[in-house]
Amino acid sequence: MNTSIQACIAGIYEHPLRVAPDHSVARLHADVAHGALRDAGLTANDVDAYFCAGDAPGLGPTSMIDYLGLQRIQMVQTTELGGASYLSHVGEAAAAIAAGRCKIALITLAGRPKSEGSSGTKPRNYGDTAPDAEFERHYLPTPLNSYALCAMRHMHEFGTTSEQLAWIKVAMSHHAQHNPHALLRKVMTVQDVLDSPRVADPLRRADCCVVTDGGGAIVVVHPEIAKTLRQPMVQVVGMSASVKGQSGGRVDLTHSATAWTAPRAFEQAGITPSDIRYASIYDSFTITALIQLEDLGFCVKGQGGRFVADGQLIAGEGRLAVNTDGGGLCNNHPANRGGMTKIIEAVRQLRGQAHPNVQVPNLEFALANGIGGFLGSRHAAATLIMKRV
Amino acid sequence: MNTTEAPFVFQDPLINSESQTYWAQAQQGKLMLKHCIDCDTSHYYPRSYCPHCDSDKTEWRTAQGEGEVYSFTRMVRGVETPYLMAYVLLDEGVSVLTHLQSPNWNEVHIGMRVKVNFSASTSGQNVPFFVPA
Repeated sequence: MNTSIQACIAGIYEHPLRVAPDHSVARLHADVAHGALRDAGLTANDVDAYFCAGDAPGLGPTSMIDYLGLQRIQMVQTTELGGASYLSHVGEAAAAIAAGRCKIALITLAGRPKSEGSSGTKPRNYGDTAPDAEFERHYLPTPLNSYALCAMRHMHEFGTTSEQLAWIKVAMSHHAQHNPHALLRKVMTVQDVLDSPRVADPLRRADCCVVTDGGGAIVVVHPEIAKTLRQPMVQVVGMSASVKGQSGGRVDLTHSATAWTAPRAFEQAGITPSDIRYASIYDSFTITALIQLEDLGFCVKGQGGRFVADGQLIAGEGRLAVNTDGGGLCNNHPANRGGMTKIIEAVRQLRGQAHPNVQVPNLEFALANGIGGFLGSRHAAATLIMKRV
Repeated sequence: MNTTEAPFVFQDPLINSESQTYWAQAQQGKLMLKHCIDCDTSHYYPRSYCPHCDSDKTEWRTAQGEGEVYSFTRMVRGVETPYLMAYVLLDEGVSVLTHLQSPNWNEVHIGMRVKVNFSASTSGQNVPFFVPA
């Protein structure tokens, strides 16, 4: 275990809006950037590194650094791991700070898919030069059918049931009732989920995350700076990212790249899954969360259904509190990219700033895990582990 | 195809210089894979470099066109025409992302034996899909 502190998360901010038709994407990025800097007690003039992903408008960081008026930038990184990008950014920012390349890094995410009519049933177009497009686009791959293929296979191999998947949504809805900004705040039962219409079997509408506008931002700083700031210190202690695809035709739909990233992140942090009592798990669909929980090592492969059933993910009731903000399934999913809000809620938990009804007491460690892209064809995963200093 | 629904018509596929052979052979009713001469392994989707051993000695081979359903889903809401998305594990040992068509959607299951078929896209390009064997 690395005993010296690499870097700390000093500022977080989640945009309160879920529908923002009157805000430009750049404005949303600016809203969350300023929010996270305020939270840390810093200003835009302090920032010397900027990280963003494909949701940033125009020429990405080049456009946004100019728009935000960041004058002291000496390190820039952009990446494209879909919704997992921001977990990777935190780890890369921490490594850059430890290497002396920067001291105060700003990471932003924002978008307005709700206002722009995005839907999980519509094909996503990543451009005509995507190497898979010539062989796949005419079959209309969408986020929904990609994850549905994984769910169908998981049920076939392990006997996972729709009721077990429903428990994930039920847990998120229990948490969302306490979040005034959450899009869906009504507590749901397993039967409510099963009664929602099938959209791509075995997935039902309630197995899918919400589509929302909004965004989030994070400030990662040198530990010596963190000591001088207002927020409790949250240290970055492990991060690993990877990509898994169709393996040239050796398709495996029941494991995510998390199976590779989690062991590395846990090793860096010097802990095991049994040390984790709060986890933010990317829940674009119920099956997404279930497969990650297995790959993270919270249970053995195939036992995810039993692990999540009967309220086991509900804070204060279950064995592992997951997504106490209501997650992507009930709270928000800004820019169709859930990684940022996963980190933010994990930091709230470590600071003791989660809603009192869902706060896990005396946390030392928290984990955030993200998936980007399509789990059923090619996706990225990133595992981030944080520690309260 | 579910007989109660309008038939699904494939949009025209993208075709570039590296996928020309795949689509020209599809027009002749053949499903093509890439095979690596160096590691004697087939892969899909087709590439110039073998994704298993990095060799550039890859050649087109005709698949037998039979296999079994690895996974599937019925896309029934929020779409113009419902369709059955699937991965089919070919007998050559590679899985392909594809569609299934069947007179009875309820009979479709993982492990079901299927064979390739082709139907014309909007502009007449044959596109492979699978039907019960």
